[in-house]
Amino acid sequence: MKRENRIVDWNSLVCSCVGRIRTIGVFMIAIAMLLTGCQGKQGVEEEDHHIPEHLPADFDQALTRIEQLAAHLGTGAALEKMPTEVNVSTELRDVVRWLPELAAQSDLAEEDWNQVDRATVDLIEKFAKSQEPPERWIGEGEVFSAIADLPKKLAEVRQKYRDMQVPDVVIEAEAGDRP
Amino acid sequence: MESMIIGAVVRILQGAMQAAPTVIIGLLVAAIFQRMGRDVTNKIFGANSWRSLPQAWGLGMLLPVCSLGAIPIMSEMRRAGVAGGVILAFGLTAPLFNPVSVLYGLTLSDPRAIIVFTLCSLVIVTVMGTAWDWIFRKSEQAIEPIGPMPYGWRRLVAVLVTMARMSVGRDMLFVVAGLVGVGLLSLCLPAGSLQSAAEEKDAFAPIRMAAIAIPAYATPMVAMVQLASMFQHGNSIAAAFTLLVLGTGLNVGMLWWTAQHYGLKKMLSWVGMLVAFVLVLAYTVGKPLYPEGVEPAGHTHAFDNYCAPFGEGVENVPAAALKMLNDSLLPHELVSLVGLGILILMGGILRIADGRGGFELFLASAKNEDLKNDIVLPGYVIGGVTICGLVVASIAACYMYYPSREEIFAEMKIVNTELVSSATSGDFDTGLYWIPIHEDWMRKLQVSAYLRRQSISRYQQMKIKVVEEGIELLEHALEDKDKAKSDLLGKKLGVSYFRMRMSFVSAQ
Repeated sequence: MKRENRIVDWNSLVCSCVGRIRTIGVFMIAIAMLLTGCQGKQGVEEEDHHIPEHLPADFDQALTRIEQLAAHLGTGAALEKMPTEVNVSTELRDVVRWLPELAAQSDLAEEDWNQVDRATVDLIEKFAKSQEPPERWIGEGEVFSAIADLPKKLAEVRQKYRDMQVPDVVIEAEAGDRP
Repeated sequence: MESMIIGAVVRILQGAMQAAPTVIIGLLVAAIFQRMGRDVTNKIFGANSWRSLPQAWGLGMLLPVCSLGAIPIMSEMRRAGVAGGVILAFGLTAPLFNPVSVLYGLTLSDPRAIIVFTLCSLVIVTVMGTAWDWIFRKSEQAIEPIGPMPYGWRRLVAVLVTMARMSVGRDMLFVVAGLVGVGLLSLCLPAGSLQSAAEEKDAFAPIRMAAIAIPAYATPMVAMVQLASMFQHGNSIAAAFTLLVLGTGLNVGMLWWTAQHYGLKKMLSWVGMLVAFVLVLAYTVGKPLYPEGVEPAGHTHAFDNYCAPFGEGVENVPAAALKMLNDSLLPHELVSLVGLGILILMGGILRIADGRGGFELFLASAKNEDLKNDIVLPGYVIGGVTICGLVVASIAACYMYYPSREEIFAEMKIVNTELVSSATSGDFDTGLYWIPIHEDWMRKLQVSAYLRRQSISRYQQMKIKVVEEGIELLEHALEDKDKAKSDLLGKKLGVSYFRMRMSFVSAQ
């Protein structure tokens, strides 16, 4: 008799649990459907890690681009390649911001990298604090002259960087050796 | 359909693996509370005085439990007659932080943000606890105290027996419900569907995060990893705060527990108030705490674990599921799962063979006077040793979890070699296995330096950043199964790692 009572109790407990879990499940599905609806996409595809089109290939090219952009903004010199994703001022700001990282993607010694860091740290801090779009402030005043001065300031480090690079002829020759 | 169901089962089992260590701790603490008796437990939580809420917050910060492990402790607090507001405050904050996760957050997120988040959690606990006790007066429950247990080994055995009985008790149903909630959430969210759910410019990100976070389950460490990732990706800080409080603090099991003990209406009104309050705080602190100079990545992988694990085009889903489970099972989780299994087995046997608690009666039959070789320690000594022990254990755990720089580099050398070789040889699955392990060691390198007060120069920081970005780019190439890109990025990562390593060697 006791055994029977136990079975009945368990049944009701299990039924009650299943019922509640089902209710919670339905509630959650409703929330989640609302959520996926809010996103406006089914989202099964992997998001791409966006690499900006104006990201220079290396430190040397970044300095070259700074020279070109600064000349364009300062004297109106024509740009061989106009930016497509952003405007000229935004590109200049971004390239200066990326300079320490591009320098770190090389074998430059710590002291040489520190020179790059010292030359850019204040500028990058100012960029971060600025609430206005770069075209309003980057082309004039102290900020502009500091940016325009960067290639000259970092000429020695740039030469060291260039000396470290494997010449193109060697790369081509090695590529030709491959089966 | 098959992949959806298997995916949900994978998420439930992954949740069970992550929860096992803290559920055991929760059972242990709950069993100790039960054996210490109603009055002592009540006293530990401030005896329903003005000290109760801050004490519950402080204890919650020290105890390494998650929102599932907190459930048995909450049940014991209720048995001890602790006020409802204090119980819910404890249940909400105990899973939010522990020393290891706070240290992680201080290093890899913004320390200012973590301190503000910690203080905000204290505000939430105080306000929500006070509101509960004010609105729902006399919610505490008086339960007949359990008879005293003699000092010595009998009491220790009684704690083990209590843990075993609890492991097959009603509280475990709430734990299982919490895990089922994780599975249901993954059924509703396609793989990778939350990658743009927390963008900084999206004003609805915190609200969306609140809805996802309630059924989601995250251990304190997982939440802190997500938080750090959100900071590094320039995601919404308001959404990060919402995720921390609601994702770590709540789960379906805890909601069910609250509804069961206090009624559905009270539970719903409390959760409603909590969500509203958390969102107000999140929107308030989000903007000022946004890290300066961080470029928004436009997406995040932080919430991939809440979504279905398998997208379209996965062949042989059962095999992929087994591999995923095998890859995600950590050694300490395996030990805890075995321990939990033993407890459940013991509990099952006790339930069938001794449903009326005869064994405990036998243990309690001896009198204290009969014990000759034991020293009876006063309560304050035990309490003091316990608190100091928790602090010492927390510090030791921090040093163990974040080993010395030499050990980290020794491990990371192997990991980097494995990752680079699998990327360059086109072994995408193996590469994807090593990616999170490499990321984890990179984070440990930084936290270990912070813990041991070793400086990391700006040069070294930048070298670390280059490696971290290299890992992320490689992850995308591996996911896309792009052989040429994986080969190129794998080689680049090898070189970046070498440069990063050399930056530390040359500094010595």
